[in-house]
Amino acid sequence: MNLLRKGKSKFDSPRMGYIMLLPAALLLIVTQIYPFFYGVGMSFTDYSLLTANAPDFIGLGNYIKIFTSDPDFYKILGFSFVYTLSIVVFSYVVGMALALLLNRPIRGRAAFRAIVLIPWVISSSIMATNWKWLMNDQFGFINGLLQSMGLIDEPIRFFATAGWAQFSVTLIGIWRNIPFMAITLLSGLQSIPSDLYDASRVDGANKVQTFFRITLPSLRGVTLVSTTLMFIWAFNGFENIYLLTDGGPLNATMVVPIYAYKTAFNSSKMGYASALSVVLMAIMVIFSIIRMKLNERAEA
Amino acid sequence: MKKIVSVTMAAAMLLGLTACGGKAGSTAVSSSTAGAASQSAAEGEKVTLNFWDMNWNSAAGDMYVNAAKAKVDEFNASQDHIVVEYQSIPWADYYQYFLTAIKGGAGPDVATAGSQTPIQFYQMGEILPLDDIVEQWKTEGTYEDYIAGIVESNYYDGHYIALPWGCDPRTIIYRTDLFEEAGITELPTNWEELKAALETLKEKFPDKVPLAAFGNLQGAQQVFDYFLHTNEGGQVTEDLKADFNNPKMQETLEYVASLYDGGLIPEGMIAYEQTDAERLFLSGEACCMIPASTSALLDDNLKDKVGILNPIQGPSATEPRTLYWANSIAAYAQTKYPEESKQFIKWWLENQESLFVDGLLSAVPARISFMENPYFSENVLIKSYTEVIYPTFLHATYPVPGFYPAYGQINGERYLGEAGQKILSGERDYNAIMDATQVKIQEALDAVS
Repeated sequence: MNLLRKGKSKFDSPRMGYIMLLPAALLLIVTQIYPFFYGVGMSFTDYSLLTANAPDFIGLGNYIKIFTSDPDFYKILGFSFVYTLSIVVFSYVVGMALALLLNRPIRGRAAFRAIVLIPWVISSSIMATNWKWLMNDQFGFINGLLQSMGLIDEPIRFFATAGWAQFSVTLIGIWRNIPFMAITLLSGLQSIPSDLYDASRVDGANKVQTFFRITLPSLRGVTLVSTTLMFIWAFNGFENIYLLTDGGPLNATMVVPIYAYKTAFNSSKMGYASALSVVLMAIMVIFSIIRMKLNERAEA
Repeated sequence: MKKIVSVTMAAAMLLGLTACGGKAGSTAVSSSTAGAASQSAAEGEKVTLNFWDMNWNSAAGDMYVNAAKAKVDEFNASQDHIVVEYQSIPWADYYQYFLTAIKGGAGPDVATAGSQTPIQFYQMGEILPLDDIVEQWKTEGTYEDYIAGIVESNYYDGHYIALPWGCDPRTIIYRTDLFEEAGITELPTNWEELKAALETLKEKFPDKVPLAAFGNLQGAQQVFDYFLHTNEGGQVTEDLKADFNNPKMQETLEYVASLYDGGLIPEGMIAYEQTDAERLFLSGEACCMIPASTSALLDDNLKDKVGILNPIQGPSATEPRTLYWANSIAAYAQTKYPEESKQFIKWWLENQESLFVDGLLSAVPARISFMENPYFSENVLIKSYTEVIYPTFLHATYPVPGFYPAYGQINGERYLGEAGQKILSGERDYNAIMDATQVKIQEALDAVS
């Protein structure tokens, strides 16, 4: 008993807690915190990799250029929002439908749940290659199918025109993120007490009323977390568009993260790219705060 | 508040992407002064050099890598002082790989890379000039063994910043059987004849693509650069002023637009990568392909049915021309062993002949005497390169004789490819396209001046 008490006091001390946290904190500082502040600092310089000269401090010069004289920024930002919001909204709607289906006592439910996860677990590069070949205008399966069914005369150039390319990358982005939404919402659905549904049946509520009065409000917490995360991932997302179109054709599918990457590593303008990344971060923080405040107001 | 902090932290992860890219205020050794730091390792000390080499024949898997490793082993066995460690570098995002390594102080001693890479790193003060080797070559007579002008393609600021080992030409390959079936007996020699041949192919094989090409930024850059060079055009003047809105450029844009409008190149090529165009050609759905594909040249089913078109001549050119890049090897200023690095480079360039054969290099050697090897003189396709195409070479930087600092940005950001993509997306306001690109090129030139 004495030994137990002695051991407990030793390992339960606040100092031990800090010691245990130290490795993770150090890792975080080295890999995240330091690069973060370093990047913010760099955004106030004209640092270019093209010269050996030390960078000059230019204050808000990069930010002013982004918002006042960058000919591409607003177009890219606009598409970034359309792309992100489309993914959040449509993956939520389709994910909810799938979650409701998978929550029913159907035969082979476990297998269906595994199948739903496929788009989420498949490698990004394999996903991109497959979609590009499926949607190719000369030898793609989708165009072949549509033509054989007589639905189109000429093949659709899915990635070759601005409008179709934007539609295609957004559609694939939605497809890829549906599993996350479906599984997250499914776990939320399973935590709703069945008593609530029994009571609503006794009160004579139909399925639509039950969904909007019981299911949806009960999923508010899961919805907040999943849509906020999805917003951050989609807005911050890189590989989906990079692998499918590389931001083309003619920047039609360019989003801010790829723009920042290309500015840094193709144009070698590290200072400007850092400023773009800071702007991207600020946008995500602002939207996430708005999202949380709206939710708090709704709950109140 | 905790949520806000967590959101901020998640967002900060992106910022790390650019922050990790390099170190501000790098104290790299200036290339122009690197020679002063030249020193050999102490006598008897064994030194290790890191040699980064691109896979120069990735279409043939590891064949080149294995041949290059064997060649490095041969060097290591030839002396006791230097041990070279070989590292094969993949082409995907190779520049970012070099950039982060070199800026982080972990770059190679010696490396091959993309043609424009040495000039890009020279500007950052990260290249060790190789003037000593050229001086030796001039004394030994080796200098005259190089294709005219190719050594100078990497001469800048009074220094040889890299030395060439090969030429990387852009050509068009075609299906000999389809040409024969379409009744095309004379190969085209100029733009109009090429267009006429493609129209004949389209008429004869309406379900096939006359000329397969890929038109993503990289592909569009190559296609338009190919035709621009056959028209003896460039993007800057010889004295490094922006020259994108010149008549030769307009002819080039108009010509490719006419191929596009005539259905002679794929309508959706703006979204194609190289593999898409190769797939069309390898599957027999295309009659020609630009640029030539090593995969197609090596394909067992096609090798007897594939030919290389002769160089063609644009309307403003004085003779048929072929676009090529000089591929080179360079030493990096961070090396602790500059003399040993130069010693290895000299050996590598002088003993590389067998590597072209064993590694099945698609490149043409920079050294004339290497072409006497039976591999080059007896292989029909390769012979076409060395006998017909090589004499028409026009370097990628034309009309500038060699790589210049802004070339990295002009070529790397694919300004010509972007202009080309506008053509491939249906834009036909040539003046607007050329004027917009002219501004970008001048900005790139100004940025490094």
